[in-house]
Amino acid sequence: MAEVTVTLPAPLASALGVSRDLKVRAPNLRELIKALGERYGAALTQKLLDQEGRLNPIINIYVNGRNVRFTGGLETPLKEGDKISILPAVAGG
Amino acid sequence: MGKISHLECRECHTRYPAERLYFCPKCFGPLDVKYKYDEVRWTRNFFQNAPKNFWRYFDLLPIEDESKIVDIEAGFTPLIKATRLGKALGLRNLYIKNDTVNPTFSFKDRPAGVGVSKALEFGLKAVGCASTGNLAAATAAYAAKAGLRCYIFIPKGVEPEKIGHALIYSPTVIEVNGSYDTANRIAAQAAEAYDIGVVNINLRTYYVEGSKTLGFEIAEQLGWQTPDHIVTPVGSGAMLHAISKGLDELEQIGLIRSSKVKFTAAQGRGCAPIVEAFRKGSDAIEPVEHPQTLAKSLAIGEPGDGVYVLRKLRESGGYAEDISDSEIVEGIKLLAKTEGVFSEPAGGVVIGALKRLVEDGKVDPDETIVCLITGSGLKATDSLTPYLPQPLTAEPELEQVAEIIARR
Repeated sequence: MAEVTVTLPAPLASALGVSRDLKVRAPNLRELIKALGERYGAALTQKLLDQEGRLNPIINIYVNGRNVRFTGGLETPLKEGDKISILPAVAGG
Repeated sequence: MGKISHLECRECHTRYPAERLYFCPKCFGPLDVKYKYDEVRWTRNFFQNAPKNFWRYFDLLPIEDESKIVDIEAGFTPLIKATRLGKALGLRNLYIKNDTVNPTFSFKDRPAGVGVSKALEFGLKAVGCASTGNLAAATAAYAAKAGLRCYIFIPKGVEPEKIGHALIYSPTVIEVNGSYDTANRIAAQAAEAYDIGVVNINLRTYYVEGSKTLGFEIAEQLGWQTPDHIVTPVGSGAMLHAISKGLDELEQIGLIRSSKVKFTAAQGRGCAPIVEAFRKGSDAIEPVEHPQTLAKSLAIGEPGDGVYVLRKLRESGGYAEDISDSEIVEGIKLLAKTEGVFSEPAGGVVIGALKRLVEDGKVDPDETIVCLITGSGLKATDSLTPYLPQPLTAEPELEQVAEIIARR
């Protein structure tokens, strides 16, 4: 299974008491979020998904710089070495 | 003790002290600045000797130390009674809030001023922004005034006038090979990696407060009353949300009777994710990966405050309109030839939306309507030139000129 690096925004990593860069093994984004939840607690999963289990609309997840909303959402496949960034949806102004 | 009470998550309402937080670590929601409203002593007379710029509202801006204010005399721009434009559209109480006359020629001088001042208050050595153009010049100008390093992230395709305008203040401008949202992501990552105060990202909580001064000014210039209807251009939606927050604050401190205003959001067709969601009755915004509109300053495919704009439009009984490139140009021309105001394409979007509202019978001829014209046309002359006629030519002889005048 692919090992990927997940980068969290600093305030989130600090609130969770974890490193900003996490190594996780998962075949796709859905499994990745599940794995993160198992390792760091359900609170993290609850931030990333809404109550219906869809991607939380107020965050953006990027795989190698591409927003997963354009690449199949939770079904986005992951491959060895992928870089995943999780950022709050703040844009423009 | 300062004037800020706390930061509050817009989603889960968790409270935080006024620190360098730009989202709620509990739920990712945006944070709003809440003040000690009962300590605000604003009255109608309070402003008689106040500065003629947006810092006149210092008591409800999130800077605690007055000596950290970076001021380039922005704001308190004219609210013009648009009688000729109103007549052309059949509206009797139409106003134009002309924010093209700010020092860097757009409304972004308001939030950028607050963002850079807050960076100074936090002791940061570098600031920056992700920008579709207008914020670039605004942030760079304030950074120059404050003596801070400045990093500007722009997408491909920004109007050359806007790039040149930003460059003159000597920031580092990085053109990212991608859309605005790509530039925004890189800026967010750089902000954390290099401790840069990117005003519209990791200083966003404070930065957006500057935009609410548009709402304060409109109310003050109407004699401490709100208009019936505000038609505003929308990119990320942060400005609309901030104006609404500002009006709510004026009501809370008792300076206006009611903050109730109908909002119409105007976007360029080709990048109108908020309009699409509004029409579908959806609460979710479908992002646009490749925006295509003449209104480049609004070309934000993943609008950060989109869901809050949707709520506001519905709650206020407002509308959302998407405007084509040709309607944008017509709107710019109509505004220029009736009111003498030269807007960038975002203003053409607003006038186009207003025209549509009139045609669809969605506005009453007697409503008090304020159109926000948020950036100068001089920032986008290249994109407008193809739509303008060539000047007429003549030899320096009166007969030739006379012939032309006789024809027109």
